Amino acid sequence: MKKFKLFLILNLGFISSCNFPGKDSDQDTLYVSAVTDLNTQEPFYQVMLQNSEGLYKYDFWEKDSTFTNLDISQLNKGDTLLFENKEQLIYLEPYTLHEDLIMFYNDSNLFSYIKTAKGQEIKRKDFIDKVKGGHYSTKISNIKTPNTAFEIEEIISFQNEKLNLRWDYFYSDELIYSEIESVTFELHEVENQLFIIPSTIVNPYSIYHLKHINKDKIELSYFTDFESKTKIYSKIQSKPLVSDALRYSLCNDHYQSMYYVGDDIRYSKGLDHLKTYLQNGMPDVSNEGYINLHFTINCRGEVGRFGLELLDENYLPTDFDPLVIKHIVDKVSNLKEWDNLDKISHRGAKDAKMFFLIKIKNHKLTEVCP
Amino acid sequence: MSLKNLVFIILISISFSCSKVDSDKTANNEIELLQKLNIEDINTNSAVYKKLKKDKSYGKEYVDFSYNFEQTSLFKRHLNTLGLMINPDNSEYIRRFSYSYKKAGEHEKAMKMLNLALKTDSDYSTHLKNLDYAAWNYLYFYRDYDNTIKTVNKILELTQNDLSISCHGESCLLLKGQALYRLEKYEEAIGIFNSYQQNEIEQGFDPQANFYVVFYKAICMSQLNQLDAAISKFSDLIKKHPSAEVSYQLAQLYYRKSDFESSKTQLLEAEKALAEGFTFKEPYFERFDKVFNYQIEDMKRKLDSSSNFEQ
Repeated sequence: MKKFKLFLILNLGFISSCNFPGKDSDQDTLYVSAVTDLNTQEPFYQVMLQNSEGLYKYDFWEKDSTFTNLDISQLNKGDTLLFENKEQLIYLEPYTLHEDLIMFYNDSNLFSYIKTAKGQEIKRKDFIDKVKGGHYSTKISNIKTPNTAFEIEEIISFQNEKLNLRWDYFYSDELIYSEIESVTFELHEVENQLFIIPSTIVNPYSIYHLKHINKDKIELSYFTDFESKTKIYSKIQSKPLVSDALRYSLCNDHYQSMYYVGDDIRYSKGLDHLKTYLQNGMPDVSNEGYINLHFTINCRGEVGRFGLELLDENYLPTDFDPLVIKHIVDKVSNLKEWDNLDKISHRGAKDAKMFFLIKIKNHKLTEVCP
Repeated sequence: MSLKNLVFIILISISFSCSKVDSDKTANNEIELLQKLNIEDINTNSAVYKKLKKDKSYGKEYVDFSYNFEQTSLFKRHLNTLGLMINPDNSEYIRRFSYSYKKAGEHEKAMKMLNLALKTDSDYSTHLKNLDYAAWNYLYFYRDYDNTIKTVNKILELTQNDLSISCHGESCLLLKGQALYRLEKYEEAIGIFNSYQQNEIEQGFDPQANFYVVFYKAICMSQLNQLDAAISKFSDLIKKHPSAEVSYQLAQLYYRKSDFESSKTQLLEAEKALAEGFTFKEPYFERFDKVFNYQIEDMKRKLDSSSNFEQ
């Protein structure tokens, strides 16, 4: 078997680089690690390349590669990939409709990968040069919590070894709320493909694969939803940060428990108290239905990562006055008293997801559920 | 052509045209149902789907298999949607899929699934289960009292007034009584609770055995200023079921009767019960009139100013 080696590991700590033997070809197939737990969508950090030599696997944390001469496309149910480092992966026959998802297991662990197209070839230094000082914006449908009513703008910038993230939540074109977060990131170059891993080994975020970059745009793919999804960011002028933007992070970014799991997470003073609290200063409401505000509570008891669903009395989508929405978000974002926060542990979670379903009847806030 | 043959051809044509209309209608209904069921927007152009769709038995297998995964997880939803798309003829499974969204608080999707289950052809027993889950939902998830009452009435009509009928593990009459209580229709609520208790007697059961029926009936009495009757009900209840909520209600009632000593005693009992965990506990919703520490502290202050309350 042809030997290969890790070409370069830089001492910068947050960067690694690896090339596999064999001539780079358009026929090569790239598989990026997706999740290692189907319930929590916990990411892991590897990339596999199938080329004419065989299958190469690179681990971003270990910064180490291994090889097998087998071909993924020829595998049958139960076949074992035996790598040079003695690692074994047993192939699971596809049973979902995610055509690019392949799954393996060993012992009791699952490893899933997504077949994805190669991206633009770029050196990490060139990437850093291109993005330095720039701000890039995209629209996202939600972040961590269900959302159908907010329009969420995600703005990223790479500065001083930090990835700065900002989310502006709009409703009816009004800015309702802003949240910011800064995380360190790692850049890994594998076969001239660039991978970005925000945050650290302690609290890792999803892996991003750079698909394309030019002076106006960055395209990044991520893989934790059982398929490859791409965010296309446009370069924008730096936007001033709203004064009351909240610096917020989750203690375990990839998975949050639900409010009802284990010892229930609840607002310490109950729903009647919450109703009075929300009613205080509430603007007039012109229509009826439910304002369903989703959010996460992190391990420090702070609230963020909002999502919004607005329903009429027949449980169909509707609209409310943005002033009402802003009032409710402002109020809920200031809540700090939660029961059983220290007991969150389900599947490794440290934070929880929750929602308040706020009922509006006869132009008044009448109930908070459930 | 003979008249006999002509009539035959016409009859055959009519017959064919009718069956075509019927089969078109059935096909359209199925397409419409599948579109509604594809809540996770699964890829129906996939070769795997086309293969699986040929054998409806895979539908049940996929749905059953999906229960191995966390109820609100994306992966479970994918498998569950796929199973229902392969075999959409099971309204029980459609209703159960709504739980995934209900628990996650995605109520547009949850209600879409639940309403679909209610509209999908099903046997009597499944239809009743769909309805009773809907009633439970309306009350506890949405505090939608009108729809709770309407749905319980429908269940009673379908079951020819079976007063023992249960809604997702609780008496349907308890749900209706609570809805009436929340609408401040206290006398009507008491009437419903009485019907439940009378039926229990007729069935040979203890009419006081259902804690919540007695609790909310007593609350309605309290609202109607039937203070002694309410105290009597709560006092009976607390002997069997000590809880912060019952003691707190008693503390309130004694306060209204200016019996501050008894009020103090009950308030301390409420505080103790709360600390020991004897309180309303539900994983998915908060029961009406659940008691919290701040309420006990507020009442202590109120009593303090009324009677120099001391702990």
